[in-house]
Amino acid sequence: MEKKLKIILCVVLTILIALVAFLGVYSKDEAGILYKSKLPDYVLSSDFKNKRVSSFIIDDSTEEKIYDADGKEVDSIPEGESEDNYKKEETKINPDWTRTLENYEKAKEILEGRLKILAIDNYLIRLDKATGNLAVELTDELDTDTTLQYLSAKGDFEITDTDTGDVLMDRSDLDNVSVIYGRDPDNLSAINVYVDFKFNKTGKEKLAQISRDYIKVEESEEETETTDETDEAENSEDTEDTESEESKQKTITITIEGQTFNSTYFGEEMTTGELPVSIGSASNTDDLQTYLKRGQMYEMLLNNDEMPLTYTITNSEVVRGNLAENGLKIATIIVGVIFAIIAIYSIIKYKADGLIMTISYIFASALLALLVRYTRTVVSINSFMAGALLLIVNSYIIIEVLRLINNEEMSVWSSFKNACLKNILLIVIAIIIAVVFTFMSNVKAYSFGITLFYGVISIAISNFLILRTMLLAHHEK
Amino acid sequence: MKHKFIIPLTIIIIVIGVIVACIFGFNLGEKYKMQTRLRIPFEESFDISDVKQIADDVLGGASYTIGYSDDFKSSVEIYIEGVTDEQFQNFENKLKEKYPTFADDENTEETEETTETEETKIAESKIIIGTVMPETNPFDLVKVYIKPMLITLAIVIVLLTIYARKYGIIKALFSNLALILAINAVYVSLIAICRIPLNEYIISFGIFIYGISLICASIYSKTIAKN
Repeated sequence: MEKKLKIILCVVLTILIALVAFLGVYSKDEAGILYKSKLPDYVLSSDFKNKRVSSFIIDDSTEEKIYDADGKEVDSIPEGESEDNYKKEETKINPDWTRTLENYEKAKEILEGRLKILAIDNYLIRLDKATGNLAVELTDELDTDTTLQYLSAKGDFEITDTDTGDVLMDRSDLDNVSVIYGRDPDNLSAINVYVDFKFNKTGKEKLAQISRDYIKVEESEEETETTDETDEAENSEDTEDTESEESKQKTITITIEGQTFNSTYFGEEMTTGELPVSIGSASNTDDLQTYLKRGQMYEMLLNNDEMPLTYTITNSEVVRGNLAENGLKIATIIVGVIFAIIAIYSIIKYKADGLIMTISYIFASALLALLVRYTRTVVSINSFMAGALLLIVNSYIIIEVLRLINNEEMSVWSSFKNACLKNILLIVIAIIIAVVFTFMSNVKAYSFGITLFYGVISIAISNFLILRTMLLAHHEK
Repeated sequence: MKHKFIIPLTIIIIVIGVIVACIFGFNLGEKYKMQTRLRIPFEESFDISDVKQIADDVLGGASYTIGYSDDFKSSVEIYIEGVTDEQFQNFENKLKEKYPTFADDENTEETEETTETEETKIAESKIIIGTVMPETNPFDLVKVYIKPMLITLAIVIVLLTIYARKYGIIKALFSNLALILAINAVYVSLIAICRIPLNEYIISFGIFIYGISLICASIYSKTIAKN
């Protein structure tokens, strides 16, 4: 009687958990009209979501460049000057000599590097080796437009003299760019966000020089103010000098992608080779996220090489996620077929014990489904493959358990112990695969690992709670 | 007897697979081939199987995939490797015959206002030619898995070699490595030989096969250690 009760309890528990996991629990919403699921939804990977496919075409247009009599490039012909003193040239934005296979492949690599910095790992970049054009496929999200805009940018960087336009530093002096933030010392409720430019050895020396040349003029003003106050003539001259010095405050302009990023002068000599530049002060989390995101875009642009070619985005369209309907069906069928084969084999060979094993698998699958929902595990096609792998590994061990119980007439607990010890290597390898794949940043590899990991936990609980209990009840005398 | 048969067969499959892969490459799935995306918006209800039938008639033997392009099922997308102007025009004409409102009436009126000739009373094409997508590099599809596979392979090989050290460290190392590589090489060779289209399902199944190869190696190590 007690044995039958245990078996019935295990079966009822399995049915209950299977119903909850696979069918869900619904209750009426606040309005009392619609039924809403009480369980959290599955988090599907971007495989199942809509994609944005964009064409990156090499810019074939030309630009007009103006050179003065000395051959120096100027922005425009000054008013009043004769055009004869200047030479205009139409040059291709992407000269023919830049259109090589090497540059096409470099452009693709740079895009991949940029996407890596943005932690976007579900993408596909296709290169047409004949024309150099690219097709970039990303998951369609709210900020995809912004991502694409920055992605196609060339990534040039210059520090110039604001007045003369002379280039003081460029990309070749940069080592690394990062985004940092910290409390504003003058306003503790605000957080300042900075883009921190780190320069290489050459850049560090140039920065130190520039910081001396473009230092804040006020220091000189104070010195002049502290000279002999009785000499009014001198003071008035000094004041005039200060006024003229103030108007000569030299500033630098930091330009990224042809746009002014910041214009400033230096408060002190910069000897560390680092130049943090504020991009905003955030007083709430939303603002902070906005500034951090903006900073990340600069990081993306400048922590990879400059694009060897200029691209324009000519076509950007949303493409329906084609896995949404078929993908889940195919994956479920594969796992279902493997499960069915194992179940049929074990029931035919081991009869009641085989049925017990099948019931324990249903419990384990249901438990895994609930774990995946509540832990917000990303589900991809690879998750189903992890489930299939675990099914096979566990079946191998459990069939060994059943063989020991039926053929060698060992007790249930001894059979479990023996089978697990004999196959400890199998269990360890499954855990190694789970752990290594879980630590990968790519979501496809990660979903395989994490599902395998939770699967191991579900199988362990199911084997202990359901399988062992039912086998004991079935075999104990 | 069975074992003697398996090893030569494995070698033959792998050699043929390597030759086929080197000469013909892999057969990329439809989604990853060089293709043009056509989007056909409909203003009336339509049956996608009719559109498919027309595509079969007009596009001949060209390989293409067809499906709804949005969740509202109001437009159809076709991915096709290449389409000539003539095929494109025929396709559009057949769609207009089947769905008379497919022709854009508003544009036809505008054209009539601006010109008197009959020839210009042609509706603007409603088939939108979308992104032209170059062929995907097969390596790009699998490269995300290379790092975790190499790391797990290294750890597992060391583990199995230590476990089966009584068999001989070098022998255990190479026999396990050979078994793992052979199973995966057979899978990849069969994909190349049978021209199975390479897509996300095949790659995911490949990860499953990789896991199985590690499991097989552990069972093999257990056997040789026991013996």
